[in-house]
Amino acid sequence: MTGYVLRRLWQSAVVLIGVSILVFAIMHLVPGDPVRQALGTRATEAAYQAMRERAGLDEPLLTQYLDWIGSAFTGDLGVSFRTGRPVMEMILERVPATVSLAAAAIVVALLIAIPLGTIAALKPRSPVDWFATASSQAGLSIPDFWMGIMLILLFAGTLGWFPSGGYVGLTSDPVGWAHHLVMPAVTAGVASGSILTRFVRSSVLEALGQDHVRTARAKGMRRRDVLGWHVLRNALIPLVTVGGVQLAYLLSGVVIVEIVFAWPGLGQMALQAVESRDYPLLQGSVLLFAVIFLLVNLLVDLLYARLDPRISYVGAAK
Amino acid sequence: MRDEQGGPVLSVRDLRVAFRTPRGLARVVNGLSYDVEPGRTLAIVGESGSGKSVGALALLGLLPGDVARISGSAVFDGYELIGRDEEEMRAVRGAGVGMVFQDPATSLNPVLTVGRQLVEALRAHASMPKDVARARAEELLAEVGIPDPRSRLEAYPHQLSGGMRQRVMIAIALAGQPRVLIADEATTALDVTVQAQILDLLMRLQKEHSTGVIWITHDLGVVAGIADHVLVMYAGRCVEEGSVDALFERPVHPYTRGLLGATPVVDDPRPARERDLLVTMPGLPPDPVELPEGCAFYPRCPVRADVRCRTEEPPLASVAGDPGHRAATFYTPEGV
Ligand SMILES: Nc1ncnc2c1ncn2[C@@H]1O[C@H](COP(=O)(O)OP(=O)(O)OP(=O)(O)O)[C@@H](O)[C@H]1O
Ligand SMILES: [Mg+2]
Repeated sequence: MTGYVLRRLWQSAVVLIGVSILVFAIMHLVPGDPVRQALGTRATEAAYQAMRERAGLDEPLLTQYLDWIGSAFTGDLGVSFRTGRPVMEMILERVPATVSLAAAAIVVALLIAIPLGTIAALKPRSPVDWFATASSQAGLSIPDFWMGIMLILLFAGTLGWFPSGGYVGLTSDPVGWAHHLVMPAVTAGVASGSILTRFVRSSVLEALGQDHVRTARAKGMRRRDVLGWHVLRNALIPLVTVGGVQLAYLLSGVVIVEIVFAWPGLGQMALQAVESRDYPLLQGSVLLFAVIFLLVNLLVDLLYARLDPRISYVGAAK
Repeated sequence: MRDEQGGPVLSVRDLRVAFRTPRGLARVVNGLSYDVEPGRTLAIVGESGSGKSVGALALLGLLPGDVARISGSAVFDGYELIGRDEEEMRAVRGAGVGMVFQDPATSLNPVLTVGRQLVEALRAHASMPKDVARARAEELLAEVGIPDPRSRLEAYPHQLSGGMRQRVMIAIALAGQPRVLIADEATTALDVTVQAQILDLLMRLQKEHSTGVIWITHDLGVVAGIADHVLVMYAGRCVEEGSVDALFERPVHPYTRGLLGATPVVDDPRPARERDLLVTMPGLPPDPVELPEGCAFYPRCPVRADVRCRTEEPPLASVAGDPGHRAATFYTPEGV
């Protein structure tokens, strides 16, 4: 197991270096002058040169990359062109809102997917199964901005149960935090939940047909114990992987949902960085998303290895 | 013989199983009847696909309910098993009738420890504190001949050899102290030495607990050593049954005679699969979706003669002079 963990850490590090080179290269090879964009048309030539120099854009590319990655390691991602504030600070500011939304959305997704997918698998081709398939199809096809707006119209407008948008910090006002979180989390969670429902259904169906489930029934175990310990326990192992991908996706910002609900998350910020060609901020955000993906993947693999004892064994045997 | 021990513990009568398939109804078990006596072993032999496993799974209600159609009767200890719901069957499974499954590689849950899977079997019927169950699980592992049972409780199935897994399966099947044990190809996947050990073990345990055993196999060599009564299956029917002596010395049905002609010496060192000469009989068994009208063995029968064989199904009838020996054939071999 330890060997497996070390190997996975090493792999992640290699991928991260690759990703950082890619991020850096793309940002610098796209046409357009970031400094001009940032300063606008009325800036003087002197101000322009000063900013170029401060951003290090006159140096050779390799030097720029090494500088950037070196500082990144110490937590310094440079200074935003647009706001003049450290990129790291701007990112950290947005982390709580993003993590809150992603965590709540994945919970919503799992609360939809696990029961619905399981019930559908237990009664294949029944009305319940039909309902599960149809609703997950609907959940996938409804655009999230539309769903967000409908929720706002109904629950914020007509019924007035939830606020229509905005974010409140967890530590400053836990109730307000939860209250503001419900609608964005549902909107973001429904799409993931729809994807996961199909996955849970096929995974449970497959598990049900396994020989060892028959063994468990032959022992005379209670139906719900067989279901919990032999069907779900096994079927949900692969769900860790697919759920991890969904979580990483939610963590890297659900732009539309953030905009609809005026949610101050990373996605919105990255979008603004793109619009204003704020290179340092954009680079920092993309690098952060890459780190998130790698970390979630790493955690998923470690969790998987814990849940399925064959994994680390196979690795060790190689 | 039947009443010596106070009657059979399991009586199966006219058991039939058909599956709905896209090609039509597959009639896999077609009127099977037998008795299992306490402390005795009934061997069911037949080539692959003859319906041995399906016939056994039907007794425990373990066939997929949406496609399997089961009829007939199976009375265990005075209690009818056919037509019961899941919860009613639960009481019988494990505690009344235990089963060792054909493939130990897939029949254990890969992500749970051996100990856990045994403890589950123990606690399915008796409310037993966890530590008592663990101690009992350790005893069971020792009983089936697993060395160092305490540490094996923590092992996962993939960490055990095929023989060890099969022993674990047996331990699980014995956990509920069943009165009938169905062993489905319990030793077929194992090499000869391990096979002999497991046979010894099962015979010893059977004697101690007076368990009725149904031994399902295509290995006639094993049957001679352990069974009391043998039932030969072909296309879901019993084509011949009788005591081991009657069947091995005075076989009547051309299928049985073919099998025996092909049976190798018992201590052949090759693994069971290779020795398994049942499959070397010329021809193939009939498709369960299109069973022939007359005798199911007709297309392969070396002694078919009568038109009757093609149009009329031979009934299972007693062989002259031995009421326990019955065969379903119109053919009468010389000297019987
Ligand atoms: N769920 C099912 N649906 C349709 N047909 C099935 C199903 N289960 C089993 N069968 C068919 O039943 C027949 C008998 O299968 P069974 O497993 O009982 O054979 P067997 O005698 O145990 O053979 P083996 O020696 O290979 O284990 C086979 O033709 C198989 O295809
Ligand atoms: Mg079988």
